[in-house]
Amino acid sequence: MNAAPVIQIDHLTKFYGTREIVRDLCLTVPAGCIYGFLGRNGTGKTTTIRILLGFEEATRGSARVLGEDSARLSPATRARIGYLPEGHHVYGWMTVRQCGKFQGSFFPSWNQEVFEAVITHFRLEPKMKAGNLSRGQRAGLCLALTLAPEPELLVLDDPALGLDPVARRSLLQSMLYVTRQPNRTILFSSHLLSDVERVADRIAVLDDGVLRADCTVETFRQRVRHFVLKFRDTPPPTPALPGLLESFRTDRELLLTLANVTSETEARIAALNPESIEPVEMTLEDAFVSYVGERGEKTFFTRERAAA
Amino acid sequence: MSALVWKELRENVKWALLAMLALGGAEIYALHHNQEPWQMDLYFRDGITLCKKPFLVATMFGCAAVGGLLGLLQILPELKRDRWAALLHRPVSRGQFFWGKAVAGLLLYLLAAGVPFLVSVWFVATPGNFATPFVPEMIRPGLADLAAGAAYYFAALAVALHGGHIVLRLLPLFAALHVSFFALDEKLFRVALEAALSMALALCLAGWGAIHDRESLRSRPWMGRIAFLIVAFYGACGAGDLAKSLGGILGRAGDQKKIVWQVLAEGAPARLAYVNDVVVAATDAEGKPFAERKYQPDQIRSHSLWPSTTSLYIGDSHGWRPRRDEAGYRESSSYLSASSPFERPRFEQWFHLKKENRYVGFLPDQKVAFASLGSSGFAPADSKAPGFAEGVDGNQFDRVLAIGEGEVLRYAFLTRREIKSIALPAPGPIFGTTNAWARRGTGGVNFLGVALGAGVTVYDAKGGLVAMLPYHHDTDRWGAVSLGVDAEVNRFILQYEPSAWIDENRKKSMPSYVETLDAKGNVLASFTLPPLPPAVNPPQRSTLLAQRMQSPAFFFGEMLYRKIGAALGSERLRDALAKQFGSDLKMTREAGTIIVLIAASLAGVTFFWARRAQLPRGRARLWTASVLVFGLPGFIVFWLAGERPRTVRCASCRLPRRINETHCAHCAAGWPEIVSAGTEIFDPTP
Repeated sequence: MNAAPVIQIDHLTKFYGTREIVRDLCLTVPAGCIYGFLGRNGTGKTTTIRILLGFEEATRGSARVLGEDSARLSPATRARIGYLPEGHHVYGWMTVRQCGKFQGSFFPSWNQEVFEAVITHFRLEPKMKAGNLSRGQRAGLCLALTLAPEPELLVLDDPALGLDPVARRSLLQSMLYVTRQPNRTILFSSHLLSDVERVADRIAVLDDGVLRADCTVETFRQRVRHFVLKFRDTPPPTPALPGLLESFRTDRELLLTLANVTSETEARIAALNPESIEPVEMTLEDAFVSYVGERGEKTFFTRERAAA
Repeated sequence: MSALVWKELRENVKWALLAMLALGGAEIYALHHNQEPWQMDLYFRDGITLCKKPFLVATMFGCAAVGGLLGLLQILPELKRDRWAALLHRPVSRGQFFWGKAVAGLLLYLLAAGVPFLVSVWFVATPGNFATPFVPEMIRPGLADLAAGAAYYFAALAVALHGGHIVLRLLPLFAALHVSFFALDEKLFRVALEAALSMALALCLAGWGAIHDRESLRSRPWMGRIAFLIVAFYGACGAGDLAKSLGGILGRAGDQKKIVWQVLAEGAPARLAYVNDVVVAATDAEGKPFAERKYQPDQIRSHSLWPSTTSLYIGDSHGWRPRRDEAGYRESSSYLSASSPFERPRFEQWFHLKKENRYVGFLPDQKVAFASLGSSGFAPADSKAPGFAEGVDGNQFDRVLAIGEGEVLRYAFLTRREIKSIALPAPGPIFGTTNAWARRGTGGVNFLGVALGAGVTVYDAKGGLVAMLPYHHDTDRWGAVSLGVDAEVNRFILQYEPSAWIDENRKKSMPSYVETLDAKGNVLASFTLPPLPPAVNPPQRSTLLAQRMQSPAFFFGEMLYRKIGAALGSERLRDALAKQFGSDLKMTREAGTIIVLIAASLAGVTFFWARRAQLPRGRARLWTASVLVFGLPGFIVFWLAGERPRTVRCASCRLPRRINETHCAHCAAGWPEIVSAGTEIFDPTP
């Protein structure tokens, strides 16, 4: 990987009206990295991407993309960035070939072979009307249009939104093709953690506009841990454990999900005197849902309810 | 850029074609409106072919609507967040995107509005379609409307591209509206065209600036910023124009009253008092009411003589004629005139072509010119007769076309195709001719009145001299002379009114005269009509409202300007000042007080708002002062364009702080640190 960061976000804050959408975001995306940009809806992922590409102005802070201030990207720098916005917009009246020709006329580095390879991958015919394509095909066409200029940086805003698993898999394969080229960087936002897990080197998790995690996928999975505590009787109320993400009480069990578990935390869990403590392996999706979901204790007391 | 132009053309050509069909249909319909032979008087009243009012309504509103809609349709559907980003994220500058859209849009606009206009011109210019001649210069009003439509196109681009407050966004549209009002009022085509094109250019640059940054003016290129300021200024003028024209709905602050002299059928003058254009009282010259039923207010107009004007400027000592002849470029009378628009039944219709100074004749039921008439007489239509040497004044009546040309009066007998010079009993030049009509039974007899330097001569339809009526008053000052003929054709009435060149204010203090003469020019009766009290024309309520809402700077500045001007000897400004502090003193005081009170209240509100919006004290004072000086307009500018920093409550001092500043202006606290929940997962970036 190259040492010079492709994206450098420095204390970026964005307000819409008086509502803070992104708060004091600092993030560095190194060259050659696939960065998953995660978070629930409305946590500021798209806003951050739009600021990076100069479509929104930051309220405070700054961002640099490929060494240029994101608010004033020059056409030459834009030529080095591929951007796939949400919604997979295409001009419905154009054919697939016309779409390629139109897009290609703007990019000096347009690679027709890449374009054709991707559209073939998505089983698109050049004569097909873009307006008649299915959602997956449209996504494929948009991806072809984004990949064919062979950008150094690919910014994808929820590229798999609304796609079926097959289309998603095709999209991922195409994305992976890009990273096979030297020094290519991808920043993509997504809600589909299985996809992220498959391709991302690192993830950044935004929660309510605040960056809560910036690490490799592996680190994230390791640092978010889930324990099943079994009790003879009703489990005690969940104590205030450091790093507690969520807890779930049932008649005989207490399920705890924690981040950054230390030996001290483990000792405090053991102090609850459960019959057994069982650590459970989490998928990235489970870890993510716990991480950005509602914090605190959830209960499901059938016996107590019946007694009441 | 060519790809972008192609995309824009392909994407919007359907709208342009639809607009072309709609506008083409409207223009062709408007050209044919009231064109039947029996409607020709209506037709000529509204102008001729390409200068016809319904046609110009179609071109003016049509081009504006087409331009505006095309501009909006080019931008608005693409303005959805991701679609706009997808479009703009290409390695070309924002400016190139704008020019690509603008070039395509202009081509589409020319297709939508230019093609129907060209078809209309071709249709009018092709013989066989209209019983009127085609003068190429008559395309001017349509061309001006076409240029104004381009301004609307760029206004729509600017409106769509500009972000921010809705009123601020609409300013470009108001600026285009202002240019339409201007083009409508302006007499010279060149000036109207230049104004429309200049506004189109300013709006184009404002739109070009807006594509760089939709929200903030500061980060636009300087030329875009200047263009936007120009557009904003003219937009404010356009909003004023619109408010003024809509203000007519509020009506006048009182009744319109006027008293006029009217010549009765017997030649005696009567004083008619009108209220809102209805006669409410009629008295004789001495102020006594009439006893006869026919002279009661409800009937007196039907028993009046209605002398027709032979000349407005006998002698023309002040060179009035050239000024009078400056009809606006939107009037067909600037290019040609129908020699007898109201003749019924119509025999032949002759048109005077102003530039060529010759006549062209049409048969009412045929739409091809059959003859032309110039200084050498009649000629076939296709062989252009040489024009008359000097400006002519023609009247068509009873199958005769009487032509006054400099010092020569000619009768062109239309049935015999003969042209004959008529001897003038007194030396020329001819200052004007008129068709005088004497009521006889249910019909009437036509005469020709010719205003010469020494008197008015009256001829019959054969060119025979009927009467020579010498002037008995100073025709340099009372040079607006009208002629009436009584039913028996033995009494002729001359009415003298102040010449056209005399200032309106001076006219108010001048009497007028009415004389009854016999055919030999002997005065049978003479009346001196004293000047009448000026018409009471109460201002429009909207004008009063606008006067009270104007800025103190303008109100008191105008007063100062008048004082300085009057001191320097300007008669006009002295009169205006005298009126302001004389008859209008009460209104002046009232308006001044209201203006000051409004400005002071608005200044207070401005200071409060400015401080509440966290503007620094100095800037708040500056805005307050500007509102105090400029009143409501200053307040509107503050409201629309004033800096309005967004604030949130400071966590330390609980006072509002600006969201874009790192430290609170009140307590210098930074933004609160993000509180760690202990769940953060960070590992170093490689």
